[in-house]
Amino acid sequence: MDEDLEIKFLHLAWHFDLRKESPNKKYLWLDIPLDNLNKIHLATVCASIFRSSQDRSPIPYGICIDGTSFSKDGNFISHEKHGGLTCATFVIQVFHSQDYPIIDFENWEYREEDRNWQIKILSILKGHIDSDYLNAQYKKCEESIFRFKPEEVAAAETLPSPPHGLKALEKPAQQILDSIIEHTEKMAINEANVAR
Amino acid sequence: MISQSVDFQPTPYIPACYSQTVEGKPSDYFINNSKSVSCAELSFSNHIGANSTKVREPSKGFNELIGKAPWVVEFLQSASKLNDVKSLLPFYMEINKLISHGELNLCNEFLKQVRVNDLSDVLLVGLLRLTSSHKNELPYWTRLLASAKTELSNRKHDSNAILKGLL
Repeated sequence: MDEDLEIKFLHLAWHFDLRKESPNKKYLWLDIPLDNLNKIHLATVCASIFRSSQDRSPIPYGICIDGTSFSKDGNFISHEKHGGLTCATFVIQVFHSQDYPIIDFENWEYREEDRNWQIKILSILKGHIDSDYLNAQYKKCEESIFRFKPEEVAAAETLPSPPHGLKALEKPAQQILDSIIEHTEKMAINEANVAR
Repeated sequence: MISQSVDFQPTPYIPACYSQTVEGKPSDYFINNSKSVSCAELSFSNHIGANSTKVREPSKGFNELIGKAPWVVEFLQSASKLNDVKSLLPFYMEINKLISHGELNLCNEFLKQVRVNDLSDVLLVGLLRLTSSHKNELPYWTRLLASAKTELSNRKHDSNAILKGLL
């Protein structure tokens, strides 16, 4: 719930494109097993991050989480040049900035398939960012950097007793992904029926 | 999703002495510089509607705090009622400004002035999380953590779960 007391969701949609939007039927919701006090605190932090991103600190899109963070005043910080966040690492850093870690980085792994996704997303990013920034992202790809999939981060938020390593998240993340696919198919069928 | 409000009714405490009244918006407050001043008083209405008074020890630090950060007056007056994003956000932004501007002494003085029994449930954990990255430079952070833990337990919350990551 935001400062207008409306239910909103905050997400990093793309390069310098942090959005606070109203949910609709296309989305599935997971309830985070957090007490109400911390939920309200985090919602206020999210509102603060959104304001900062609008005012002075837009958040770049980047494939490597290393060297990125949020300051307590909601400003995005990159400790290295060309740092940025994905939609998933944005969520990780929001939680971690408030000393509520959800991902156990020590127990994460690089997967060969990660690079395929990283190269694919960078090809889409091309044209939206300057060449220096893009080249820096490609260089990071060569360093076998971790990928954090959205469903893994969603599972990490949802499971009790965080932070979680990759192994603990594989099965619940797959369940979340299956639910999303099922929901998407239902939505497509509904839309097709409406169009007839 | 957040669907429930969080309610808490603090017990007002009786002032020991008075010297000046600070009411209304931050811009309305005034400081009495008389030598006879022995205490600073904040008048407020708590969220159950009862008027009460808080007494602050006169100190250079406190005067400097409300001089440089007048929003603190309003914060101290309304802290027990700040339980949703709308009411918390302006103060979160102000507290964050203190930190981002490197005003750690002022931030420490702010934490010193906070009384846990005057804080809303959310602020008991929120203030600590907002300032935790500089806890080593804020001597009163640790004291606030200890008193917030006790206060949360007194209010029948699971303090260990709520303060996870901070303890």
